[in-house]
Amino acid sequence: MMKDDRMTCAECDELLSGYFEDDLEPRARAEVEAHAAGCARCHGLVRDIDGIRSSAAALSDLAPSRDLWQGIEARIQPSVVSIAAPRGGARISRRWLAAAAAGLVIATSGVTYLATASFLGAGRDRAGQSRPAVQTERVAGATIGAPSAGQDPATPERAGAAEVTTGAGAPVLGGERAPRNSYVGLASRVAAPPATASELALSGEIARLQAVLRERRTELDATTVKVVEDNLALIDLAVRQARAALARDPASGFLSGQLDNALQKKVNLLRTVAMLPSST
Amino acid sequence: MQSSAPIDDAADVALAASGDRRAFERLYRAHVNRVFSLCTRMCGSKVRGEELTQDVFVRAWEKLPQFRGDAQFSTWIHRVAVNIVLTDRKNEARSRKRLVEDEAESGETPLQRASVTPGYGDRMDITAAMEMLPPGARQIFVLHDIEGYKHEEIAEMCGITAGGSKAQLHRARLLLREALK
Repeated sequence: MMKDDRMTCAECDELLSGYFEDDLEPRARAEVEAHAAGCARCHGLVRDIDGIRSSAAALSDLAPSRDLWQGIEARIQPSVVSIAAPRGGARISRRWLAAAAAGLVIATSGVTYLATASFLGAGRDRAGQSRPAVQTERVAGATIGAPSAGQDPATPERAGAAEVTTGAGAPVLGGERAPRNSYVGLASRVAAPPATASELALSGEIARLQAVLRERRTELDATTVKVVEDNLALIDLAVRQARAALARDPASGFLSGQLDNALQKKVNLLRTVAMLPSST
Repeated sequence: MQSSAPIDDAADVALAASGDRRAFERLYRAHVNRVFSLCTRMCGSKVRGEELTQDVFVRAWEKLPQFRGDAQFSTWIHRVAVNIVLTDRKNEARSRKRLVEDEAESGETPLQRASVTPGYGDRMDITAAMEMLPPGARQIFVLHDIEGYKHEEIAEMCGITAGGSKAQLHRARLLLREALK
């Protein structure tokens, strides 16, 4: 460090930030320049920082290692805008999510149950004997990217329990392993009603949203994930019940509407969760 | 901030604001590299930069109806990106409070620790050195020296004073110089 008549290196250091930001008065600036011109240490400092500034300004753009559009597109489905509408900064709370999902499941399941019970009651009267009502079916495939605890991903599903979701193992229909998300397989079965237009339309969207959720699973709060999975399982149960009822009464517009409504509710829930902020 | 290459985005912006995803994809293709560069350099990780880039475009899609066209789309989406990264940093800082405290206690940054390793500086380029800057200093260095924001703009975005921004910038430059020597 050298001693200059007008300025020391320490004094120069104190002024360097202002020097580079053009904050110095002309006189102070001239003193820094004069000092740097005669001081190897400070001259090197000014030169190096100038070099860093030039290098930084000349850096070229980077490119992602993969195409990010697919992941973005899956998250910007048209109606996501309205769901994610908390423009005032409001956030969807976990409690709200759970309450909303539970409410829609109760409503959907209740109406479907009533319709199914009514239909089966009529069938029992006609047959003159009691027969099993729609059996409670194991809830499967309602996970986000992973099977439920204790669930074998390859466990066959009971016939008629065609699954909408793709997160778990592929359902088995009539003893044959069906492709995942296969409404075609369902529709081709004699006992099953043909897939509705809404089913066909929503199946792709459900698959895309579940793919998003699989990617985001680790980002979300574990409790939120649990709540979502539980509610998806309930919705799936409602879907299966509606479908089972529809299989017995394919002409019922009411049941068809219930099925579509339940599927739409599932899409809405998945979209909402896809837009939840990360837990970090 | 520094001007970008002139890109006539107006038509696609209008279409995208009305829900046209094809138009929004064209905007994405035109701007993804700059947004990714900003995100990656500010957060110091390419992997996280990719995640943040996706968040930026999703947020841009949501906010596009509010874009009034007062500024260029490139300027606007860069501002969106900066806000996303800064918010992410705040969230990360909360979740990693312990690490931050450890760093504060030691009074040493990752770059300072690394720069004492023999031979470290010999092969280091400015990009690698930037990744090792303390987060606050790195973000201000990126915003000012690479992206061309003014200290007043940085101060507003980061919630600090312009003087604080200048001090952090000078600190970042000095740390980089040490690493690059």
